[in-house]
Amino acid sequence: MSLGICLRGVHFFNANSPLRGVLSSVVCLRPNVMFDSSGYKGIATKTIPPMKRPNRRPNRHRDENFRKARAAKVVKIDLQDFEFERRRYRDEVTPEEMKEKMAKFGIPPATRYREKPMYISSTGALIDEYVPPEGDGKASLMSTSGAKQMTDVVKGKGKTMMSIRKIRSYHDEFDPRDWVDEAEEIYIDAHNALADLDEDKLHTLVTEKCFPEMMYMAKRKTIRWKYIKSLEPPRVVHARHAEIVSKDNIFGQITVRFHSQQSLAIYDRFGRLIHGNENVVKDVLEYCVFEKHLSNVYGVWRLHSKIIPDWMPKSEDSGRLTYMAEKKADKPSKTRRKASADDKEETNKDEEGETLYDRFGKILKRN
Amino acid sequence: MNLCKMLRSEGGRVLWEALTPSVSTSLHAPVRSFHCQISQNFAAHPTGFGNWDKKITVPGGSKPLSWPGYNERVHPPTGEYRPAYICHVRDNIKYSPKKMWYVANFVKGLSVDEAIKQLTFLHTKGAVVAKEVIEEAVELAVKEHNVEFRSNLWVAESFATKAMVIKGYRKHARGRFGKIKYKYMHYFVRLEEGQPPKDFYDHQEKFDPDRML
Repeated sequence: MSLGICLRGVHFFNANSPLRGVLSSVVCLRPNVMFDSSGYKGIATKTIPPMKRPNRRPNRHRDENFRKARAAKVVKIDLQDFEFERRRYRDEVTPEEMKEKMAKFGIPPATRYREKPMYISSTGALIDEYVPPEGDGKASLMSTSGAKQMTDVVKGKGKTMMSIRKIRSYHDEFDPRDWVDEAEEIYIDAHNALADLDEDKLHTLVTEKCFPEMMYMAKRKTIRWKYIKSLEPPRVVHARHAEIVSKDNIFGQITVRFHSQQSLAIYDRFGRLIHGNENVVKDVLEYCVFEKHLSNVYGVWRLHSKIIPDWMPKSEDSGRLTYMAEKKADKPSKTRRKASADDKEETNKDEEGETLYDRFGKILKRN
Repeated sequence: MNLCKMLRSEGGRVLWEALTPSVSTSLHAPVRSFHCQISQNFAAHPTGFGNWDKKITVPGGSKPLSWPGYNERVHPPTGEYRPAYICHVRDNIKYSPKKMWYVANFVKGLSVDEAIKQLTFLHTKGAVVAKEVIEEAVELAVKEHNVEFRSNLWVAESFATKAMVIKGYRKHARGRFGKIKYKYMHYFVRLEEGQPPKDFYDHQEKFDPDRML
């Protein structure tokens, strides 16, 4: 390990050093550094003497062989994994991982077939949905088209009549013409319960199909709904019945046409108006389906669904709180608000303010 | 509520005096039933007075906390403008609340976009957690609390509290043992709608470079 010739402040690298391939051609210009393979010794560590350990006490702090022993100092504890629940909520947990976890806890996997008693309290759909005639509610009652709309559904031989007869077989004195008043009451009570967000009351007035549709997004809102008056007396327009599962299990559905005046205002959680207005009264034409479990002695008529025809105008875009301010065409400037004398001055100023050009296009006077 | 606590309080003393001697002689059964009657009259829920005062567990979480309950409060319309606010929390995160203090204070008073941007380049575990929580809160705000623009939110409150501490141990020389604390924390955030106020840190003394020290 001989060094090269020591020129003034320059050392050549040792030919046996590992970096000879790279650095042999490079001349080192730092005089005091010696590239020695036995260990790098710089100036800084020269003054700190190495710790002297007695023979009996070996230094195991950095010895590779004792890494496991060092790790064994800390007694390992199984910490509860809360991230697992969070991932499970986000559906990031694979079924295999779930099985592993369950096996660890000692919970056997859930059996596939679970018998659960089911009670059908409402049909989930509309039986032969009523198609409202186009232009309904727009023609006056005096015109021919208006008169046609008013044809009495109770008389006739169609399916509606058969269904009403079926209903009459369960309730002797059922008259649709008298029943519509009851239907109107149910309608008003149901909407008032929705405005009060009274879920228990709403369940008695509205079927299981209708409940989530009504309560959707209603949770954190203030709803103010008013039924002002009915414009036309409510009418039964459609009636159907159906057997569900077994022959004697019959549900009846009656569609009632309501034409009324209502006002609606919906405020969000912070009292900001998002839909409608309390002072605006609107004419509402609706086709509401009421359903009853006829075979059930304790069955009650409840609001089941509303039919919204395609030709009905869509409700306005609601929920927006920010609007673009309309640009005003003539914005009065501050100077023009002064007296007319000043206006005259201003016109003079305008003339003076223009740049003057001579006939060659050269500027004579600037603005 | 503990019977002893109730009797120790002033109301309890009044109660005790109001009881007839026949009741006071037999301490347990009649007094307990009277106590039950009273607590039922006070509150419909074990804590607080309304649906919004219940402790709620955030979906995916494990601890019921009062903080998410603030989201259930419906303010009746009075005509005055009230900016939207959303309270969100993530419970039982494996990180020290003392270390999280730095991250929580870092994010206060910033707009949500700025906060997320800054947290992306703050290389600590707490920053990752804070960023995820703020992003979740923004999503909640837009979906459930009728916030129109997701950029129009700022961090009004941000803090971390101590959650459970699991104690373990490690071996030392000469048969000695050292306690190790495995610390957990809850991280709370409240977002408010609007642009962040410029006077958020005004209570702090402003440093004027020209001032002679």
